[in-house]
Amino acid sequence: MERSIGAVPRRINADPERVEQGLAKLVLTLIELLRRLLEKQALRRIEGGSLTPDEIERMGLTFLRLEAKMTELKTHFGLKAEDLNLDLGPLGELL
Amino acid sequence: MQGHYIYGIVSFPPELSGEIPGLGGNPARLLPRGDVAAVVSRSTLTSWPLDDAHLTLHEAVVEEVMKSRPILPARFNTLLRTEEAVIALLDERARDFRLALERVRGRVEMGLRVLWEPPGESEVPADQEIEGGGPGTEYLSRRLKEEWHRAKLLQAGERLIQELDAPLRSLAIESRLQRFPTNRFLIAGAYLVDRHRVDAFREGVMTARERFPRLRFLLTGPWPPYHFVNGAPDGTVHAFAA
Repeated sequence: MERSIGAVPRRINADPERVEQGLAKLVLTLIELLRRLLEKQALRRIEGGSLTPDEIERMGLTFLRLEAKMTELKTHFGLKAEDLNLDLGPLGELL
Repeated sequence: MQGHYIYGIVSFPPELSGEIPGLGGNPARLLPRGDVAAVVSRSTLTSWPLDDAHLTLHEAVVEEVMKSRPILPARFNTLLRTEEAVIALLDERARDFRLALERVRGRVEMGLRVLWEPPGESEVPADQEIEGGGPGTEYLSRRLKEEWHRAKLLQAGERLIQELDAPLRSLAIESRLQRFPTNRFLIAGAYLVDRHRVDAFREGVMTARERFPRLRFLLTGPWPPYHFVNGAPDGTVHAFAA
């Protein structure tokens, strides 16, 4: 079936200047998804009481550093927090 | 380049009575195939600007057609290049379109948005606190509290949604609810309502207003059944989504 004309150009952006930013957006979105999943997992383990104070501190520091790094990368590529998302159509948004 | 702008799908016959002006001043007409037809107009653009004037015109065509027959409204800017492509679409989806048309016959969509004041921060129980530690522990402790507040908030919101949706759902055929679409909105909902029960539905919303004086209700409609053109429960898929 021929797709509606309007649907196609929205998704393809062949402007070479913006390809790098587009790629960074995709990669950072996936890292953000992983970061949130890992953080959720960590919080659940803390609630479950299966971590020593030492482990909690080390994990927290890792998340802090990852957050700082993400902020740095977003600034570098001119991306805002709300840019890090993927429209999954009928499934809604990834994050 | 030429294209065909699609406003929606209807059963066929009858023909349209009278001329309905479409986008770009081109008249809307029916492109029939068997017992279904697409409401189309010729288009010189492959994409129309998404502004009030054009959206209103799209809506006006759909509403005019809807006065005389059920319609499956198409998403704004649904275009196909050729007549053959429109016919092919009708062929391919004939069964879906027929079923969906039966479902919306004699029915309209009512839109309901409800705003709420999310409850403020309450005391976090002691088992959610982590004692001592350095900046890493502090960070995770803060995240833990945020998660706890968020869970409480969603719980409170969900209770409200259940209470106010139940009586409305009984006045409607179907509903599509988006929960917490933004911070301020509790729900953004679409209800498929029998035409003759529109007033009853309005009264139902009035009753909910009185029952929940702290919520704000924005009721709109009747609309063409934009959120009920196919079986997807989330309300984001339209008849022409692949």
